[in-house]
Amino acid sequence: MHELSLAQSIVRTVEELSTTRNFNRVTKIRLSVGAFSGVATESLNFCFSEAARGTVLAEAELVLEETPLTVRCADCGKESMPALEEFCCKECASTQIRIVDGKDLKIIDLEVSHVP
Amino acid sequence: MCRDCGCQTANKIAHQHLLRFQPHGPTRTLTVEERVLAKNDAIARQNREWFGRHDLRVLNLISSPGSGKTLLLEKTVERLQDRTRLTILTGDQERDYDAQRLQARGAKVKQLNTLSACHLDAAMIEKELGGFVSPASGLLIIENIGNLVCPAAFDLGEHCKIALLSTTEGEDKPTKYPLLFHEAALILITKTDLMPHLDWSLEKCEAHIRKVNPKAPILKISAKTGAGMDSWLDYLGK
Repeated sequence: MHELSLAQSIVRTVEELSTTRNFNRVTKIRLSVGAFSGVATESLNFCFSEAARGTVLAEAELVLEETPLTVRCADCGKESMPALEEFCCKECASTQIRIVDGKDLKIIDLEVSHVP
Repeated sequence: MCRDCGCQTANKIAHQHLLRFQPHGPTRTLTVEERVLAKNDAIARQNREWFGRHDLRVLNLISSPGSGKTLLLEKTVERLQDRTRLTILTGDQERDYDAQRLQARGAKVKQLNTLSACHLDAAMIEKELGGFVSPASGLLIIENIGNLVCPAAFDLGEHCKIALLSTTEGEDKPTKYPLLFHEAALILITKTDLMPHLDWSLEKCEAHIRKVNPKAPILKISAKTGAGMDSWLDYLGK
């Protein structure tokens, strides 16, 4: 994946939030990295420190939490969390599944302050 | 526990203070809960609405580089009854070689160059709507950048993704790149004319596809010989 452009996108989003939500420093940012998102966490970590330089995120602690793949089965109706290599319902082994979580890179929350 | 500030994040994947710790005063937590691709997806939804209002069917062709997307489109244009009903947007990082090839066949085509980006995004498509992409078209085919990872994640507003996989690629690609093959509404196996010369198993490939996508039709095509092209043209409704 192109982690630098993802990091830049995160920085832009947070900079926009800083004006509407009235903060000028982020001390911590929590991201959810979906297991199925294609995002490499080490690359994202490295790229984030570059993208954050000189921005409200420059001093932020980056916390990455992995969100597992969750699927819903059209056959048995249940949700389960298969390993990526299995990619079928864990309850009944059907491949008639729909992804309900684990595809995305998300900003969960920010710890912010306003420094005069 | 972090010895600099006492925070309890030692059990997370990454815990990093980017600069030497500086006191930061009182803090508050802001819930964001926003997907990083949310902006792209919002534009994609607007694109989809525009396509719906103008009755335009939109297909997003995604594959590795060299799977045969452009040749397939060249042969498609040649065989169309009415070329004015098809518009093509073709994406590459640099150059307009693909657009030139398609123009030579009489296609209405525009080259989109992303320079450094490895995928087309919804904003690039939005720029063309109402201009190069006219409502009179009927069918828009977007030939995405050759890449099996990122294009699968970037919604362009299309009605469906079509995945191409050639016989010169590993049979196991669908399970290696499950997001694309799971989401594809149609899967094209291309370059079937080469099968007699390769140690490549159609059965194995189809089995890998079915592991991640039990339902999507699989068409076997040789753009070069024409094998399977009728079924592709039927799918396009031409």
